[in-house]
Amino acid sequence: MKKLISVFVVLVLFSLFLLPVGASAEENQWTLIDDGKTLIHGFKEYEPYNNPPDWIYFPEGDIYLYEMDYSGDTYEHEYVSVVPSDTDIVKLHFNETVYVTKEGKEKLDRFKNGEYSFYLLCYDHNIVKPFEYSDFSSFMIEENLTEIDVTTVWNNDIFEVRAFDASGIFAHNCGAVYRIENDYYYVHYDTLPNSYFDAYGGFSYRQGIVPAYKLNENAVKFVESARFSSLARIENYVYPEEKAFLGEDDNAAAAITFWALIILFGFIVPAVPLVLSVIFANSKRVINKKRWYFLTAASALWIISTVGILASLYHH
Amino acid sequence: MLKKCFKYDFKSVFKIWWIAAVTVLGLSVPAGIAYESLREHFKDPARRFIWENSAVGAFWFSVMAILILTSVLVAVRFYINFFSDEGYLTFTLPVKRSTLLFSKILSGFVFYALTALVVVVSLAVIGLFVPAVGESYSCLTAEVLCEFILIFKEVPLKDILWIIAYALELVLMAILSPLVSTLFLYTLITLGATIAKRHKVAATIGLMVGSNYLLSALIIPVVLAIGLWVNATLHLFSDKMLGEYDWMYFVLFAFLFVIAVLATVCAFLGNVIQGCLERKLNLP
Repeated sequence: MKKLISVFVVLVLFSLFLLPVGASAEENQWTLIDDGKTLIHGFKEYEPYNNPPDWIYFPEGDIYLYEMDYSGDTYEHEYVSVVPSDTDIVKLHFNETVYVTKEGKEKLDRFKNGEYSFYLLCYDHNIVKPFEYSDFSSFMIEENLTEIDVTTVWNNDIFEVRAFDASGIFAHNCGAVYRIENDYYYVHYDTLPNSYFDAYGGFSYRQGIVPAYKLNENAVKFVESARFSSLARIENYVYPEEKAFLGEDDNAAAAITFWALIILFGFIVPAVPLVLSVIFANSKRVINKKRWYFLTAASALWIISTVGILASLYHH
Repeated sequence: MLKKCFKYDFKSVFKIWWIAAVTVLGLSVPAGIAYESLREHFKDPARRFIWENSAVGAFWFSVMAILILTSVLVAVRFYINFFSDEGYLTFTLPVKRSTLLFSKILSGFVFYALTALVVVVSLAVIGLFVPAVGESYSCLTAEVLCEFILIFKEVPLKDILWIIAYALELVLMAILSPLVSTLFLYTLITLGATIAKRHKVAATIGLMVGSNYLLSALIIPVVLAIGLWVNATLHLFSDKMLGEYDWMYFVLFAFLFVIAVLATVCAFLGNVIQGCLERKLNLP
């Protein structure tokens, strides 16, 4: 009876240890089933979302990449990109298919229908400046409407006006300001017909003459200030499963490796011959004691060179 | 007395070693001509290159042979002179045991260095026959040396001081490396001859094989540790490594570290041999 109770207690304790492991495994478990038609994560189910090709995946901050569990060939070594601020919308990292829950679908449908949450004026992709709906009116003044040839402006300074969905994950280019010599022109993509865009929904620079609004002085100042904006929208990919390995972003693991090895091979290992040589050099049983001091000197030089290496690395 | 001891140790090895050295140097000339012939005619399908391949093969065989022969000759001299019947005569000489040992270490080191020199010279002889890539002159001629001098002239004085410091460290490493090999060989022979009362040669060979396995097993974790440490260092101090001259101090101390490790091994092995010769000499 005692044995049975002991086994029971051990099993209960063991299962307690397993609990957090199971919970953590479930937390990061992403499984694709039904030939890619359903993505499962815990109790949540996601389905593919047919987003327009011109949508830009442009979330801010950490994007967690979780390894996806899938038995087929199509999605081998695939990751699920998850933005912690809104887990109703996720994306396969390499395949780029977007998966959404019901709530996520509603958000993206509203975005597709032109319901934008906020705008950013983007210079050089990451440098951004908040842009308000009212700013469009200062950009699009009817008497400034003219035409520009866009075949040669693709390499000039470009400031894109991007509208975002409610989750802040996807963006759509509403238009762009082009610099031609010393003047700035705004092309409002949303009012242009389909013939101005390529098959992927991107603005086509082969179109030639395009209607554009020449910006007035105040609008130019606003655009110019975006160039020096201190705001930056930066995405940062995090690989939670690989945190334990010595990766590019893992300073702690690198520091532990650096110090453990340098202490072992730079101080502890040479300390052994150093101590032994001093003992032998002072032992009465040893003949020709002085020769042991060569070993003392060499192992001391070993330690000194280690100190030198550290000094050269930490010297400013 | 060291001079006399060294003279006899040197002569004993040299009387056979010189034949191998002359063979290597002699074979380097036909090997150089063969390399040039191979380079000129390698697209000719009618040619079978029998003499060329034979000459090149013979040269590399002789290089292998001299490397092995030097170790064998040095080891045999050490064993016979100290641990065979001749040992009685050796240790009755009015010479300190440390002097006897130092003479052996010196002669061993000198022969390893001479062997390296012979190999380098023979390769230089081959270089005289083979043109430098994309040039009309040979790999090792005055033109090439002049180019080196021109490059060296453009180097700033501060960099020249660094180059001298590194060169000194490399020379020290070049001296210590064959010294470690010599002492390691002597240590194994000494341990084999002092531990075993009979079959000393078999014991020495057993120790050599065993130590070879041990070193092979040790080298993997050591190389892995070095790789990990270098990776971690580059990761943590990448900005510093890009700074002007900062990494040069690091390399200077890294070389010094290697020198210190080699020196420690040398001093330890030297003391082990000396201790065995003084306390546990086990003559037949």
